[in-house]
Amino acid sequence: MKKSCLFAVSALLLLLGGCYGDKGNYDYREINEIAIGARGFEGVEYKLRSGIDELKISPHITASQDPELTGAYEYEWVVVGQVRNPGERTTIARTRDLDYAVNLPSDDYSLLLRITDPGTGLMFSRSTTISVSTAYTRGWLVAAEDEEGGTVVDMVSISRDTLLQRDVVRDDTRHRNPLRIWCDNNEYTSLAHGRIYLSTGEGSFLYDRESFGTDDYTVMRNYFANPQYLTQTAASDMIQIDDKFRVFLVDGYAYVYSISSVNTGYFGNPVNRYAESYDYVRIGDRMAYNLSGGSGAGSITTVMLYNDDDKRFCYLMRNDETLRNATDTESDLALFPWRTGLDYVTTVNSRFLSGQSATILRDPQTGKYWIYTYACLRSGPSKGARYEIDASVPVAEVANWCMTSQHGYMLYSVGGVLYGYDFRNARTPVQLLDFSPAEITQVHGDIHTVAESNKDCVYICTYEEGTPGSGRIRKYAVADTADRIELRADENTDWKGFQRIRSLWFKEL
Amino acid sequence: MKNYRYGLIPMLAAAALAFGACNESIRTYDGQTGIYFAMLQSGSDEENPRYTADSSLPFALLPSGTDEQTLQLRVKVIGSVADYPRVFAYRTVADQTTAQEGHDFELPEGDCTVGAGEVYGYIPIRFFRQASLDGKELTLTLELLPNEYFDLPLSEWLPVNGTETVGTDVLRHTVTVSDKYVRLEGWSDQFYGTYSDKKIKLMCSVFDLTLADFLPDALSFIERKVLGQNFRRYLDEEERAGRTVYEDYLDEEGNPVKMESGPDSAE
Repeated sequence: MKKSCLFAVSALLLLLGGCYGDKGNYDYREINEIAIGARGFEGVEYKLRSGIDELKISPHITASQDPELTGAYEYEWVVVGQVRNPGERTTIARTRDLDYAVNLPSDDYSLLLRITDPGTGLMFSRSTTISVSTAYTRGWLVAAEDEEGGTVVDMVSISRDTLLQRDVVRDDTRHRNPLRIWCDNNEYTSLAHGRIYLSTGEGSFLYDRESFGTDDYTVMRNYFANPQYLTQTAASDMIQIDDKFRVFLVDGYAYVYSISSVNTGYFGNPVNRYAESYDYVRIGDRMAYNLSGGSGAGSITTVMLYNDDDKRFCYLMRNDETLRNATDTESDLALFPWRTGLDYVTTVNSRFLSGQSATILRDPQTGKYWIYTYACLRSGPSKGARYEIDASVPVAEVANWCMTSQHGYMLYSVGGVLYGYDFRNARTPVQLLDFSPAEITQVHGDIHTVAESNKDCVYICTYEEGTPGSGRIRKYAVADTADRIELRADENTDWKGFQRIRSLWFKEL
Repeated sequence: MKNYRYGLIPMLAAAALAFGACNESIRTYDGQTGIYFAMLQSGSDEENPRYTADSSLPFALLPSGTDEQTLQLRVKVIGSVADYPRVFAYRTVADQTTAQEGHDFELPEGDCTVGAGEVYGYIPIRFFRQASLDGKELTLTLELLPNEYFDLPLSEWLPVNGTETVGTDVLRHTVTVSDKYVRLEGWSDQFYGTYSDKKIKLMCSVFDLTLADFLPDALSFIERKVLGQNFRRYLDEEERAGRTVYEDYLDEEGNPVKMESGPDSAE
């Protein structure tokens, strides 16, 4: 009875609550609304260099109830990484106007201005994007030899303007006899793969792509699971075709590896042998590849080598652990046989005719030299033609060969003189430039820089013997002329102050 | 009065605790001077020791060509350090020993001592990799004995911060010596093929490896691949030279089984 009474009273009280009139405040009040204008956020492209540039933005800010902006607003400028460190947030300023000496790792960032009104607790924001590079991000790596034979690595840093950075490698030892400098231009989550490779007569070394610093993984020899075939660990040529497939020629052996989650950068056994034999064959010190497929799905993973024991062309494809012999077909045998019987001299690559390569060979019987052209295609190699080299070309004295990227002319240097050779039309070689008394130390046909892939550019490096710092890099464009080879100097590209340049490579990131 | 009594008891307890805190002297061990086996378990250290009653000496994990190995069996003193050397005594427990003294192992000839100012002493035992040990394991159990310097007050040892309730026997210690190959986690069927004792021993002998190279993280993926390729090359070359390598076992039809490397060691 007592419980029932209590329940009834409780229910009554609840019902009475329903009779209570709602006396809430329905008079809406306008809040102080903050708007950040487009100034500094729209129509501007921010390409910044860390450690060099300053980022200044003076935003146009309006507050609906505070035209003078007298309130104690909280400002926060935040950058959020997009590519290399996605989602990583860094507050770079807490002031109304941004005046920031850029000091960030290279990446694309989203830049946000966030304004909080302490009166309401509301936050307003606007964003734009910025691209930050370091002084070492993009430009030409230059490996040169000083008068004492030591290696000097400089970098021609290219962003909004050009910076010449000297002796950039942070290595205590100055290795002698520079051979090649190389880095691949792919993004990796692990920096173990994304390194700068310096090959010298005293070994090959890997440096951090951002800082050029050394660490526990600097010595390339340590990356060979089976070092028994190594002598100097001197890499004569190397390429990465897509984001995975790498081929290196080291001490006369060819090595391949595919970047994967299980391979942390190690080379296995050499691959310059055939499946049916464990004997390694002597190979040429350069390889042919075709970059016209790009580095994505269309990439061409056929890499051509020359078997100098059997005097024939052979090749590798992705995942190959042994060589394949290039095989003749009934229809292409008339062009030339892949088994040439000739001695190897060198190989050059171009983008001519969708990526043609050329190998120069010598007939030991007659002493004559030949140019064999072919293309590395997805399905394997495809023949072009063979051309007997004009007797006026002193092949044995030629220091540098280069096939121009778009026209497919052969350029070569003897001493300080650069010659052009339209071998396809059986023309006599012509003298193009004479830098004497300086010597031409490198002729680099530009088939790598993405931005200039449709142009035919060549970089000529010269050096005056006995004059330290006399190394120069000049850029020329191959003119589109039908009847003659003509090089036009790029007036903006004459970089000076180098040592004897041995190798150039373009670093994209 | 009843209420006062409830308040008074905790107060007195707190006062007792407070007075107790005033006593700063640290009590030291004043029991019998003793000795015990102090062999650390793997993974423990001197800072936070855990002792074990068993040690092992697997010759297969040692570099090839290692035919003799000395194991330092450690003892520790309980009690004060002395400024003079003290001999300690032990014996071989015959019914827990399968290794043969003079053939499989040798105990030190003279007395074993704990040096002046030291808390540790050692029994250096030389073990031999005899041909008869191949594929087997043998044991040697030693027991500490009391003598004029040391009693045996501690027969079992429990870790200070552990949860164990059963102590480790620190008066007897068993050493297992073996020359046996086993399939470890780092073995790759993909590159090395089906495991067999004969195969792993051959690989160790040809490529100068130890069983330790087949531990899970000992070799990288590429190093395993290279090892598989090099093993295939070795087997092929042996076959070509008329010395085909066979496994120890026969197939279902009683035919000898040719030794092969793994399928991914091929080109």
